[in-house]
Amino acid sequence: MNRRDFLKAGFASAAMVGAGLGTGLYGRPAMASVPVPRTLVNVMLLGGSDLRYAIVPHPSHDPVYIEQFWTAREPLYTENYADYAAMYASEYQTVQDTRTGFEFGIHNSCGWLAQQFTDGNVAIIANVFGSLNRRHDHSQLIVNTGDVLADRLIYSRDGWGGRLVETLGGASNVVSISSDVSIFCQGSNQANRLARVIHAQNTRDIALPNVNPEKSVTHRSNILTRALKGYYEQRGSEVAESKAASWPYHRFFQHNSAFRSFGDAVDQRLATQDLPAPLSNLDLNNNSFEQQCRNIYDCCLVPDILGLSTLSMDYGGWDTHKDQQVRINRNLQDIFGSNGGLDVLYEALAQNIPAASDSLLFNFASDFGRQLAVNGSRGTDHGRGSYSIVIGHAVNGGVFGDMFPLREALPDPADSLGRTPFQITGRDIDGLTAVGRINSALCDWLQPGSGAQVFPDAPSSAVENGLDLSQLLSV
Amino acid sequence: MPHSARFLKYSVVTILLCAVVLLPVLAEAARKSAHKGFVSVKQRHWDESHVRKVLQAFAYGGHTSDAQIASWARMKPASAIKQMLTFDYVNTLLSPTQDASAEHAESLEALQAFWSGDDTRNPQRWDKRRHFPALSTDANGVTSSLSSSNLQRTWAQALNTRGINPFLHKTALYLSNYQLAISVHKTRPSLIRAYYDAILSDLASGESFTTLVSNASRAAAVARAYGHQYNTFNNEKLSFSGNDDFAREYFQLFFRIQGETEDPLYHESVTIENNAKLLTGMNLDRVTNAFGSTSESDWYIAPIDFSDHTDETGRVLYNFSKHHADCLEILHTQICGSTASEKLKTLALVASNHPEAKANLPVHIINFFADDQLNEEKTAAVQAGWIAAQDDLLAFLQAYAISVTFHRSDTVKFRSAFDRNLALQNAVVLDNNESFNGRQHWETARRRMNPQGAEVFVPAHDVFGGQIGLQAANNPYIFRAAYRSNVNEPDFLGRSSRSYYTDRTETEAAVWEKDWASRIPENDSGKYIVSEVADWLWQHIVGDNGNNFDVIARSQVYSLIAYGADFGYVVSVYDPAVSADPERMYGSEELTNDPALQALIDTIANETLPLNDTEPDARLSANEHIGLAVNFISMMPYTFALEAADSSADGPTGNIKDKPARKPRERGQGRDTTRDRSSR
Repeated sequence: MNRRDFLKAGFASAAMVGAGLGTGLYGRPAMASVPVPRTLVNVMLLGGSDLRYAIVPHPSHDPVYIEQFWTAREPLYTENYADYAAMYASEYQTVQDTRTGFEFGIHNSCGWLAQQFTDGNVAIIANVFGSLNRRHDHSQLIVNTGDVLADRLIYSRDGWGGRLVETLGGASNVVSISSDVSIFCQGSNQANRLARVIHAQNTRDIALPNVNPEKSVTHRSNILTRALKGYYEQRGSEVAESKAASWPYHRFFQHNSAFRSFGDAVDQRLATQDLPAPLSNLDLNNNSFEQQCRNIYDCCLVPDILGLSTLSMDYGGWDTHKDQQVRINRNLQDIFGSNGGLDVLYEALAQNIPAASDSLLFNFASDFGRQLAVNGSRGTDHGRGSYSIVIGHAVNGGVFGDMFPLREALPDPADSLGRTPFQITGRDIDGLTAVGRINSALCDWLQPGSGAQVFPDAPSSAVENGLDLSQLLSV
Repeated sequence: MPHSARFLKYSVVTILLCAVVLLPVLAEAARKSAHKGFVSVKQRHWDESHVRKVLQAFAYGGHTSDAQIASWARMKPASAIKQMLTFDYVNTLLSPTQDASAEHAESLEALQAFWSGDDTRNPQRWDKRRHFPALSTDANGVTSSLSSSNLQRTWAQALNTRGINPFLHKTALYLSNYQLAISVHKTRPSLIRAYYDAILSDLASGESFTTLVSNASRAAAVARAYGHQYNTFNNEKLSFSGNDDFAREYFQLFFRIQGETEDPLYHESVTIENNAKLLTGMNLDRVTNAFGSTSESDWYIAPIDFSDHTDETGRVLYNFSKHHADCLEILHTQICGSTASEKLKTLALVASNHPEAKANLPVHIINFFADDQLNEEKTAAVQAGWIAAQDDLLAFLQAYAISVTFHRSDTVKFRSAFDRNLALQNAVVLDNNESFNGRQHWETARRRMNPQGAEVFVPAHDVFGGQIGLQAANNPYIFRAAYRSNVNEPDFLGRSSRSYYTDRTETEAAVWEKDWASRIPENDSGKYIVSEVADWLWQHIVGDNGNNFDVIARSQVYSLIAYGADFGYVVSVYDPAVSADPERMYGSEELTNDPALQALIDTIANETLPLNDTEPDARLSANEHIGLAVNFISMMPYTFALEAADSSADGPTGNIKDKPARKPRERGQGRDTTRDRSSR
């Protein structure tokens, strides 16, 4: 047993012990009878995240690189540090890729992420690109569809999450647990792009109104409930057959039938399952993400009802043009911090639904990366290349690709002034690996062969020299 | 000459003659039907359904009467549209004046002051006034900082007030919350209100579209929201300090230039980077206790003073000397001017003539107002119409609104929560008295819009704009939120009376009563027959000529209007042999073919609704029943999207008979309206 397997085994054992305790903190233990299938959780960091802030070189890294890096990025930090080493010591903790021995820093706001990396559950893929432009809307469209050539004006189209569940087949659905249903979720059926989408914005409040037996039969809310319920159910089944696929009102009948088909069942199941106190008391800067973490937990209690295989989450607020550090620290802490959303979620799962934590695989995507150098507003402007982060027990953790390419710190041969990319306004991380390659591997983890269906162009897309993604995930 | 040759010669001559004679005629006909680059709907096709679609798409339904709609339907489309859609602060045909509110229609600032003040002509109920001032005020009248909620409430109230032009405000919403979007969270209410009011002013005064966008790009609110307020250029060291956020979004959002039609590297490294340098010297003045606020974050004021100067608080602002002094190459053009303001005026002229702007701006505008299904053909027509309009937004929208590009069967507009809730509120709130006295301060459309993701001045996608219709349609939770609201809060759309005090001493009581009879016409016998009322109500709210008013919906609407109960309950009481279970559901086939159910529906349909009864309780009950029907109809799928009428169809379509608009009974005619219902 290697170190990583040992750590994983230890994690699982601890979880099982925790589950057996059934502490008051975690309330009634969850039903263990419903297995949680492998589930991909796609988290969209809206706005273009500067992950170069979360991940920095160790002070012992190449001194040329460190010098350029620090000069270009020092203004991001609100504290006045004497030098890079002082800043690093105060703001970052060192982690090591156990496969290669490579050391780097993860920001202190990402304590849970650092621990997970150390435990071998995190893969960081460097120099990744999704979109080749720097426009939010178009880039989000490209990232959500997985189509680099996506037309920016067309939003009524399929996303790669939607294509994935179609490929998986069966009762598989994309479950959106954020406040929006992003294009990532949409399927290829033009008449009903939401055919395999369940929107679970709040899993504890998911049903449409039913007749309330505690109120009089002639109470107005009961009258309207019966009238509307009767209309939508009866007319819905009629128009499904009689109206053309292009009829614009289909989707509203579909919303009704979707809620009716799973809402009551989810309500019924969850009524007997308390939300663990640490999750229900979770208090993050971002209320939406807080709720999404609760929703994941609940989804793991009702995977059979939802047809769970793919989850869609988002977290906004990464467009950090000015005063980046304050904002990004809050964001990072919410997601990756000790006692942040995922930390509390994983702990709750480990205590109550231990198998679920083995079944989840998180993928973090964003519009684009940001520029190498800080701007004059203590922020960073739009770039392209970035890092991909994949987290889960199925991950063969480590760093994939050149995390801090020395070329960024050397004079650019194309620059007439002989400046380095760190010194040239507008320069960003060189995107060398198409994100579709990574996403394709994630699809294959869910179901072998599905990656080629969802991302047919992935095998021919760009990849960093020498990068081998075949070992990204364990089978 | 052989016969065939003669025939050929004859044919050629005939064709040539026809061409000579007919071509000018056809050209003239085409010219007449064309309007500002669009092909207009022919007058013989133009009818009430077209008028209603225009009002729904462009003016949240408007506040006009059935008679006015009928009048517009009889006019030539080009003449009608000039009355329907104007950028005047007050358009009395679209939104008839009912009180002094119209005198303050020129700005949200004026409306806030009027509706929160003590003017004797203020129609706002006295106890609601404290929810409208610029400053937040507690129950004791203590004020502190500027209130975003009061500003949002004022906007929603404006859209529901007769005398204020809903088309003007919908256009201003598009500009301030979509194309040129910024958020109140980044500006505070004072700056964004000034931004919105300036847009209103530019629209009302007929400024060109380019000038309007140029003015917006120089606005204090925009500089504060994006942060280029602090961008500076050192003209000695030639060094720039700041961010390129708005430098990019100026092109992408304000003018919809993506930089795709040229070298992307040039767009990134020259156009955008130089625009960042242009956007220097745009700092905002501060005034201590501006707007009466004690919060320092409220003290920034508009407009920007582009000179070097000292503001009221003693801050020295170098808006001239820290602006990039030299010309800048942007979009392959030298942009010159001594201040950011001057350069932005010049740049706007260049940007608005950029091919991408010409191609993309009109598509974005029409996507917002009218069509989520623009195909290549329609897009080309919209782009041609934009060119023909020559920078005149009003002319463009008027021409489009009567065009066959809009009025065709494949035009679909999914409604955002703004569109749907504001139109519903305008349809069911019958006059200003109801809006100001019959409703509580929280009962504006804002109560429904905000939880459904449509919050004015807080665009759902920040600078990328507010919720669009397609997003709303794709989001099941918005559907669910609407469903639950209608079921759990039937009074919101269906309230029939309210008692209130008319003064601060709470001694003078008054009652507002719903009076649907003031809008719904009696039939020729002076009666309100349930099926006729149902048809009118459906058309009033849905406006589809009854195309979707199917037998299941009819069974429910008839029952709700006639008895204030759903059809299932009515069957369980009146014909338990069919079913004694009120939750039993009935499909179309059953309702159409089962004799017992058919007979019951006929009976209900022919009931008389005592809407004009001399007995107040009977009238009140009738209005309550209509309120339930309103809740049902407004939750129909057909209120979530708008299908345009097909301009190729002759005459009315659908299931509702086209009848001449009858005059509804005058308010108070033939009945007692003074009875106090405060005990109810």
